[in-house]
Amino acid sequence: MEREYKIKKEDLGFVFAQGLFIIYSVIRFYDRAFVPMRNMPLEALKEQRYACLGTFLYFLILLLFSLVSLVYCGEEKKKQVGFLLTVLSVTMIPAFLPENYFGVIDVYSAALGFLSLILLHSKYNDRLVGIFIFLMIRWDITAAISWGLWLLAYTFYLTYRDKESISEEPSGGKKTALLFTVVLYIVACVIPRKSYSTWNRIFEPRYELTLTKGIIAILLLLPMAVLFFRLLYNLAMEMKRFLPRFSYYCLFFAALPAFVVWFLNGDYYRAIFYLTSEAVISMLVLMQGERLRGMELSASHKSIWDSSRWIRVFLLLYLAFVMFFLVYGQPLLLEEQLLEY
Amino acid sequence: MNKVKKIYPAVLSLFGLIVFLTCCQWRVRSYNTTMLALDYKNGFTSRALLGTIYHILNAILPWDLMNYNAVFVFSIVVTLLFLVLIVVFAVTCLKRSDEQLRDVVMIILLLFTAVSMSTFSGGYNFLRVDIFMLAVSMIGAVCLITEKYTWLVIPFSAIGVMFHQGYVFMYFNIILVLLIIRFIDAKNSRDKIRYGVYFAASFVVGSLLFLYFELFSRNSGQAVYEKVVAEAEALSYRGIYHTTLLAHEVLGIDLGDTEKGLRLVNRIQFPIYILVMIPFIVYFVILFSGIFKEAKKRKMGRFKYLCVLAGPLTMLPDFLLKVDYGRWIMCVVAYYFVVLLSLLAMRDTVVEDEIARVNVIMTTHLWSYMLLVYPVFFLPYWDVDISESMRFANRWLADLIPNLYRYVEWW
Repeated sequence: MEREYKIKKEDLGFVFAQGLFIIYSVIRFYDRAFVPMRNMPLEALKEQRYACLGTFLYFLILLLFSLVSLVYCGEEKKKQVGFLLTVLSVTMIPAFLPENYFGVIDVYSAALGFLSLILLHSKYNDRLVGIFIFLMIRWDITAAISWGLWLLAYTFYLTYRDKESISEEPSGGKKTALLFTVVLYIVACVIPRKSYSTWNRIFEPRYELTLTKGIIAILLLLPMAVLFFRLLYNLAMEMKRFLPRFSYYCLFFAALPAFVVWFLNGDYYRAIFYLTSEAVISMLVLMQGERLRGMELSASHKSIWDSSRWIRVFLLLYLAFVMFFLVYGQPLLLEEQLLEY
Repeated sequence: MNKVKKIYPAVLSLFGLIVFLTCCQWRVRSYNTTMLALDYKNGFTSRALLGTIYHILNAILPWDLMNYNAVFVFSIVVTLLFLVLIVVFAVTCLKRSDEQLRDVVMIILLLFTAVSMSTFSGGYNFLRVDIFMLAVSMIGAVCLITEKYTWLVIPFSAIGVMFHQGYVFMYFNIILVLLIIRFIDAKNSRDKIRYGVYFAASFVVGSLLFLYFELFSRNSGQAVYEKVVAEAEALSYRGIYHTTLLAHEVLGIDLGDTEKGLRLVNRIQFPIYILVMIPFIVYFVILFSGIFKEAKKRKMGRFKYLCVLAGPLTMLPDFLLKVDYGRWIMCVVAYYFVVLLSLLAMRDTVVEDEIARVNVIMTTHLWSYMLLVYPVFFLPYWDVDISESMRFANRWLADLIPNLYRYVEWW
């Protein structure tokens, strides 16, 4: 039966609330300081006004992504998707506002990533994703280990995930689109690059987070990581065939390279950002999947949605405190005897 | 349900610990360390109770506490003990509240933990005397909820004022309003008399001590000033103590004029804060309008809930005369959390029905989870600056509008 996709008042209400979230994030985290990156595809992006414009566009695309997610998820999953979009807001909205990460190249890659996810709902999704991956990696080579890789894994999952009938092979069209995407990914990575982003000047780590804070944040986020991996494992184990099962594992493994590489480069902020945001987006797209009804929390298959609301509020506040205070920055302690006004 | 009762305190403790770890800036501010140098050995002066307790601990424990490192450890211990108190208060409320509302009560407790632990772990209010004042009121609330050892509210009133005479404006309203509620709800004349006497006695004790500390306690400070300064230097980070505090508390010098510039900050930040709190103010208005509508049907109902609503009016002198708006807002927020939770624990049917109604309104909306995260942007509360966000907003406006402070000064 064909679904009817309509924008409802509650969807717009949610997007408005998310807009307010963005405003509050700007007030809290953006202190109008800007440290331009050395390597940017366009010189203009090293100016603060264009960085502001880029960030504004990123927020706009994120809002659009939220609206599309709510419209396409179906009534029965709206509350779950709303919850996951709130989690996404916590991990991804404040990320590009602190001084060291304002206007960085990652914000544009993230915007392109969301655009491609939006377009996945359209008729031409298969081919468009490949083109977006190509553009993203040409723009920012580090996207090859972060958003580009995740989108590739997601395309693989969409191609090989279990269908209504488990004996059904992915259609020829889907396989061709996947091949097209993989080829574009490889070509984007290997084509010689301009001097602004040669292989030995790829990473420009910012040392916002110390190693101690980074490790503490990772340890505090570990319980959530365990929940996520357990979910994917339980879902994967439901699959009887190898390829559908492997497609879930791909979503899991796609989040790791960015985390490991940025961690080894000393940019713990980015490492944590990519791990958390890719995990949340994975859960979001899984929730929107046709055949899934909820997330598995434990071996007893008790869904997080069957548990009390206070548990979800606890998880949300827990994540918010770790991300807002430990990762994205703590308020500065003013020096004694210093009166600013 | 029993399983939840067992795990919730552990979850709340864990959450409080996480808030502490993420918000703590690992430094005790000079104002709060200098407070420890005040001691009743130098006379029965205001704000000296905390210092006296610290000196007693120094005398009885086998370690030398008269240095900054010891103060730092003491601060951590105090903050974690406060977390224990929050858990005790939470368990008390949960045991007594309606089963149907358990989920709501748990969420409110999570938010209260977030607000209070972040404020008292953050840089400005780490080991601030406010934590002790709130703790005293919360213990009093537990006594009044359980109706055990209720007479303790009288000495608690005295203790609160001895920590800081500002207690009469800041957190005393919690105990007074709960006493009024117990008085109105008392089923027999014996209980009515009892609560009436407790209210009167608490009020008189608190007021007399306030007047004494405010008007008569700062005499002959010159004789002990050098000694107090030496102790304050030893207790403070890098020996930098708070000169204004000692000048005011020991020498009795009024330094109100030095705060003139800081009032301008309040006049800019407070309206912005009210603006960003509009989503919560809307729900607050919905809740209390429902409460008043229901209260019409009960004897003395309107008066009772008017006392609940108007309790924070005791803060008015502070809002008008003093500049620590972050702390005053914390007082107002903490008041409503503690009093509403206490009413739920006392099985006040009007408050139960209305909170259930507001909960239904909220949960029907997709953005209800988003709303619960908003407060985190404005935590922790500071002192003159309401919070980091308000400080940023203040600077933005000041850069955007030339001569902003001149316009505000006129106002």
